[in-house]
Parts: sequence; structure tokens; C-alpha cells
Amino acid sequence: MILLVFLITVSESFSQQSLEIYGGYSKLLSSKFRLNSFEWNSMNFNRTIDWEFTFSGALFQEPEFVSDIMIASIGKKLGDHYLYARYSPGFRKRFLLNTDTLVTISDTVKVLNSNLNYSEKFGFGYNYQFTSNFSAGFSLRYFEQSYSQDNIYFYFSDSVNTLITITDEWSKEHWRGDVGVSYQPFNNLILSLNSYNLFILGETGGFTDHQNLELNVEKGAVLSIDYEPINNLYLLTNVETSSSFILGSNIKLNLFNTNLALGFLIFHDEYQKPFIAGFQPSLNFSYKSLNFNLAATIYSEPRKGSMPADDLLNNGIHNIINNQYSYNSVSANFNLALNFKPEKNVEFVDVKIINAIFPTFAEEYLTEPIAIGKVVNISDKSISVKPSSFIQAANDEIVYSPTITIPPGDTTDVQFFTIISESKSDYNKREISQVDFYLSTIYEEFDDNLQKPILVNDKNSWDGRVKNLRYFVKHDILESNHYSKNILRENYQALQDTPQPVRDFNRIKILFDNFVSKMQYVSDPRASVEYVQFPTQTMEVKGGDCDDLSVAFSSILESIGIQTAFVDYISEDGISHVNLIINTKLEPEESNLITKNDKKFFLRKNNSEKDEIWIPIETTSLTDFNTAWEIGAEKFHSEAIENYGLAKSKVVIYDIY
Amino acid sequence: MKQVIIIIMFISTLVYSQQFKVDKIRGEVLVQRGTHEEFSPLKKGDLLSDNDLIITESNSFIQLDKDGSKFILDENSALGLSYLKKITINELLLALAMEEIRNVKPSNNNELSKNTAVYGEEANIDKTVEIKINSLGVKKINGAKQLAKNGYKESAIIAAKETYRKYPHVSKIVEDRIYFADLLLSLELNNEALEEFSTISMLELTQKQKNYVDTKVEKIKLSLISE
Repeated sequence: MILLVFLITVSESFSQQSLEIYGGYSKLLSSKFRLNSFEWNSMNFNRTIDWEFTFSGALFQEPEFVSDIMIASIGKKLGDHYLYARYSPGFRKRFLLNTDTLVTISDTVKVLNSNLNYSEKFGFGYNYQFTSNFSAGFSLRYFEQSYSQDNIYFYFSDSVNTLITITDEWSKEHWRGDVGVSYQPFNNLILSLNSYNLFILGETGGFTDHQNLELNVEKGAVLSIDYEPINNLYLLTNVETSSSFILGSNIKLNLFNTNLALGFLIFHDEYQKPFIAGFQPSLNFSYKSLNFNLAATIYSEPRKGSMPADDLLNNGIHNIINNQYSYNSVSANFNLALNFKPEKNVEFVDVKIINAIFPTFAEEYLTEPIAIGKVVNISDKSISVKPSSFIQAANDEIVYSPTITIPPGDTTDVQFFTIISESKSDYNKREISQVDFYLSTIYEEFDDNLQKPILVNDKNSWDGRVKNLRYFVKHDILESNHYSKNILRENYQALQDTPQPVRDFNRIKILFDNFVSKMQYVSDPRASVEYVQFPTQTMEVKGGDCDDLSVAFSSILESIGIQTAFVDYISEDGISHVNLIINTKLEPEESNLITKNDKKFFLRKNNSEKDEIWIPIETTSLTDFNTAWEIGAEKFHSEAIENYGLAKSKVVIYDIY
Repeated sequence: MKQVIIIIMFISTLVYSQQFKVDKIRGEVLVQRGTHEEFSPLKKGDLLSDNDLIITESNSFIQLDKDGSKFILDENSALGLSYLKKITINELLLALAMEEIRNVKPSNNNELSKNTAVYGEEANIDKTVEIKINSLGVKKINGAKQLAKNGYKESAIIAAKETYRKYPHVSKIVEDRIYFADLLLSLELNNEALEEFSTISMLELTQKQKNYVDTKVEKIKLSLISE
């Protein structure tokens, strides 16, 4: 008997069900890198908005370099439907099984060989977008397999008995059908579930006695998780029911209006050794409608030109482009995607800068917009718009504002918020900077952008609104705390001798008397722009105007937990006067501990609905506490209470916290 | 010439600040001026401004003259002279609205307003400190009632509201509370009256007072529904 097979020689390589030729990039990047692939995406998740053409070629490092055309495909979006077809001439695998058996017939020496061929010819895909974050689809792929084997037969006739070799051939064709769903619960997360080998349809032919060599079509599924934990960093995971998996990541860079994504993944294949069967570095480049992709597939275990074929004969293969017989190879892919439809869904009508930037108000801009954009939805469906902005002089990176949905054809106001960077600048001088406003929708690339000049003030500038003085109070709170502690330490015994209920009141008194003894009233040095000193600056220069003195004394008290609020006295000529009211924490029944005149205090309910005694202080009265209290109380009683200033908004109270 | 101008300015200032004159006086009547701490006795012919507070003790009274109009403050009463003026319903509503406006806004971000840096040891409340609840609150309510009786109903309500807040112990005197709630009703401020009667119903009431307050509450509710 003749030993049939010893070695196989393999041409073309690749492996694992969800490993694809593009090197793996996150679905979160798919609006930029629109490369469809049935391997990881049998449900055809895609963010194409019109036509897509893709062409892929590969260069294989076999013992000699071999090039091949891998894919030519076409995709088309029709409303919420997406249709896709691909021709995949490079998706094939050929084995030459060499028995090393020599047969001598007459004078001819013949080697007995067998040929095994697998190929995926073409496929069709469909996807339906149910909602903006949920879609489902299916794919159908056509496979061909053939097997030929040289066999020896004895030939008997009347004149001669001899041996002859005859090549026996078998073939098989089938369709493979798969389905899948994709769900995007958050902007930075996509979950997908795809089947593999779910339906095997239209089977014809077969390898009869060699069924083990037929393409293994074991059913399974692959769960994919695409996650963007921080901006421009993407993690992707594919886990198959066969226990094979892929772990990878992408880093996206925006360079000169182009998008660059660097990727790297490792894969474990249940049918390959070692545990990490290989890895794929990749480079994706996108500029407008053009994509270019380079990927390499490198196997951990070096592949030899010839290998024992026992495993192949017993188990066959599971995947044409990625299996245990793939060479240790390097491949390269070139892809081109074209999109004929403009990608813009929304565009700016205009952007209005609401206010100049005051760096000290950083906290304010988290809740108050710096600009309002008028944005029109030029598409024929509701669009979720993600506004963002970048102030060159004040931002480290693009700042995203809350997403809003705009109905088709509608124009809507879009708010832009910002985060002032502490490290970007010292903000020691005012400057005209540029702010870039962006609108993005379902695509990574911005639908529209607009640039406007914006005034970025220095850190001591103030917009004249009393409520914003609180940001100056908060600025030097630690230094104020040191100051307060030192003064109170010097008056330790006096405070200890003070009854508990009036201890805060006495702290206020001691701190004020100490504060004013060092200060003098100085008018604002700049007439054109409101200028407010930080508390430490007021201490250093030993003076300031009503804003500076109120800010400094408020900071001193707030730093030790005594509540203060600014009182804004608005006059007819628009010039405000500012002083302070201070919470003594005393209850109304305790008022006689500090005064016999109930015009010198007023009551405010705290957050627990309990009345507490607050006292007005005129911080520009640089004499002593009692005088400052009397002057402050008289003004407050007259303007805020008697003349209904609080109700008429002529007197406004702004709490610091 | 300069002297003449200065004298004219002084007189005009005096005239401007002079709003009340002590017309008649009996017994011990004190004044607390502006935001001063001291109380000083008054005598006939003294001039008072609307920043002043006058206080009568037992068996005392004072009659004030303002542009020919007379006002008598009976014994055991106190009145801030700023209340001695006619105000409109709108002004009354503004004053009532201020009660809410001046409260501390609810905040979840109060970390720096907590006692983060208390210097020294926290001592227990000193029991020797006597928190005197003097009679000023009661006297002010008496004064407010006399305002109302003299036709200054709106001012009386404001004075009473302010007093009840600054002197909480006075707010437990039910008969007076009912008096001012009825005053609100007489001005057809039904919502405000309902709120006041509802607050009164939560105080310790006699059965008679309870019946009265409940009846009022029902009546006002009915009238509000019919509106």
C-alpha cells in the first residue's frame, strides 16, 4: 500500500473568523475609515451616506513575494437601507499535498500529488438603520472548494498489465448566511453581535470520502465591543464563541485637516498556536472621501514552506484567509473609498460671541455659554449635532458642548461652553484670540466650522457684573485662610472668653478691625476696563476700591467658613456700589447679644429654612467695625428694605457660594 | 455771601429730614435714632425723622404732627416712623415678596461656607449668656395695630410681618396673628390671608380660636375657587 500524504505546501495565508485584512479599526472610527468587511461585520454596520467603492490589494511574503487583488466592492446607502456587494478574488487558499511517493511506469517517473483549493468568490450585504444608534443586517457569501488526488490504478489487458495514474476530482459549492446587530448606547461605545456560519445554503457536490477536508462551517458568534475611554483613543475587542478573540486599540490624530489612525491588535485563534497567534499593526489615513489603509499580519509561530498534513487531513480548516497553515507573512493592503455625496448635514448660519473671556470666571463658562451659534439642518432627517469649540489663547484642546437634535430643515440656537485652561497662559495681558467653532454629526469629521475673534482678558479684568466678583473671592482662598488664622491666633484669649453664640460675630469684628487698619481707599487704576484685585494683591498694595475691599474681606471670612454675600446697589446712572452682608449664624432671639437696634440686621432663611442674622458692612468705611456696620446697615435698611430695593431689583444680593 | 449759602443749605437739610414733630407727650417716651444703639427721652417740640423708632412705656403716650396730620401712639407701643405713611397695595405686595428674595439661595456647593477653619477649641454654649427676649416685639405689634386703626393698614401689615420675623416669640400670640390675618382679608389679599391663617392653624389654639381659623380658611378657599 502506498503512504498517501506526508507534507503539504500552502500558498496564500491568513486566519481566525473575525480577523480582517484591514488590520482592525474601531467602529467608532468608521465614519472616517469606511472599509466594509464581512469578517468582523457580517451585519454590515456602516456609516456611508451615499456610494462607496473599495479596492484592496495585498502583498504576501511567502518564500517569494506574491501580490493579489483581494477585494473590489461597492456600497450604496438608500435612506436607512444600506446595500453592499463585494468580489473577493484574493480570498482563496490552495494546498498542494505531496506524498513523496514515486511511481515508475515504463520509463516515466511520476510523483503522486493532491490539490486542495478553497475560495470565497463574492458576497452581498444588507443593513437597516432602525434608529440613530441601532441597526441590524445580514450577509450572504458564496464559496467554492475543490479537491483533486492522483491515484494509481492497475491496468489489465490481453497484452499488457501495467499501472496507470489517474487524477480523481471532487468539488463543492455553498452559500453562507449571517446576521448581526449593532447598538450604540453612548457616543463612545458600540456593541455588536454577529453570527458566523449561521446558515449554509445551496450546497452542491462534496468531497465524498474526504469530507474532513471540506471547509469547516461550525456555527458561532462574535461579540464586539468598541469603546473610546478618552478622546481619540479607541479600544476594540472581539470575542468568539469558539474562544478565539481579538484585542486591539487605535489612536486617532488630526493633522492638517486629515485623519490618521494608528492601530495595533493581537489575536488568539482556537485553531492556531501559540496562544497569541499573531498581531496586526495598521495605519489608516483619511482625507475627506479618500481612505488609505496599510496593515500587516504577522504570525507568532514561523510557518515553513512544507508542513505535515495530518491535522489538515483530520480537521480541515475553519477560515480561508486565516488558518493554522498561514505563512509567517507580512501583508499590505491598499484601499480606496469614494463618496460622492457631500458629508455636511448641518451648517452654521452665524455665531454670536456673547461675551469676552474673563479667565478668572473659568467656573462660569461651564454653565454659561460663551457664544450662541445659529445652526441649520440641511439634511432630510433629524440630526444630533455635537457642537465644540477651541479658543487658541485659552483652551488646551477642543471643548465639546452638549449635543442637541435639530429637525430636518430647522434652524436652532446652539450653545457653546468652554473650559479655561490653567496651564495655557498666565493671562497677564489682554489679547484678541481666535475661537474655532465646530459642528459634527454622525461623522468624525466636522460638518462645518467657523472662526471668530474673541477678546481674552487678563486675569484681573472684570465684566462689571457684581455676581462675578465671587470668582475673585475664591481665587486666593488659601492665602486668605492663612491671614485669618494668624489674626485669630493673636486674639486667641479674647475669643475664648467670648460666649459661643457670638463667637463668629467677634471673629468678624476682630478680622475687620485688623483688615481696615492696614487699608486705604484707592480708586480703580483703569477707567476704561473694570479691574479687580485678588485678595492677596489688595493685601500687598494695602488698598483698593469698594470692589477690591469687599472681595478681600469676603475672602478672609469665607476662608474660615463665615458666609458672606455681595450687595449690589444699582443706581439710576448705572454706577453700582458694592458692599457686604455677613452671616453671624445668630438666631433672631439672639439679636440682643450684638445690638439693641433691629435696623442693624436683617434675617435670611438658610437652606434649612431657619432664620439667621445677617449684618451689612460698608467695607469702604476704613475706620472701625462698628462704624462700618452702622453705615452699611443704614444704607441697606434704607435702599433695600424701606424703598423695596430688593423687590424692585434695585438692590441685589449675590451669595458667594 | 458764602455764610448765607451755608445757612440756607443747613436749613434745607433740616427741613428735608424733619418729618415729624412731637406735638404732645406724656410719661416716658424714648427714641432710638437711625442705626444708633442708644435710647433717649423725648420732649414736646422735638423733631423726628422717618429713620427713628419711638417707644412708649406704661401710662405714656405721644402725639406726632406731620404736615398738620396727627398720630397718637398709646402706651406700651413701639413704632418705626418709616411705617407712618400711606402705601399702595402694590407696594405691600412688593414688601411681602421681599421675604422670599432675601433668603439664601439653595446650594449644593457650600463646602467653603462650612466651618472649615475654626480657630481654638469649640466651647459649649455658655449658659450664663442671657438671651433677653425683651418686650420690644410686643410693643411693635401694639404699634402696628395702632397704625392699622389709624388707616395705615398696608404699613401695619408690613410692620407686623417684620416684627414676627425678628421677634419670633411674639408670633405665638394668636389673637394678634388673627388680627393681622383679618387685616389681609379686609384688603382682599385672599391668598396671603389664607397662607397666614394656615400658619396660625399650626399654632397652639383654643377651641374657639381653632373654630374661627378653620371657618376662615374654608371661607377663603371657597372664595378662591369661585374666583
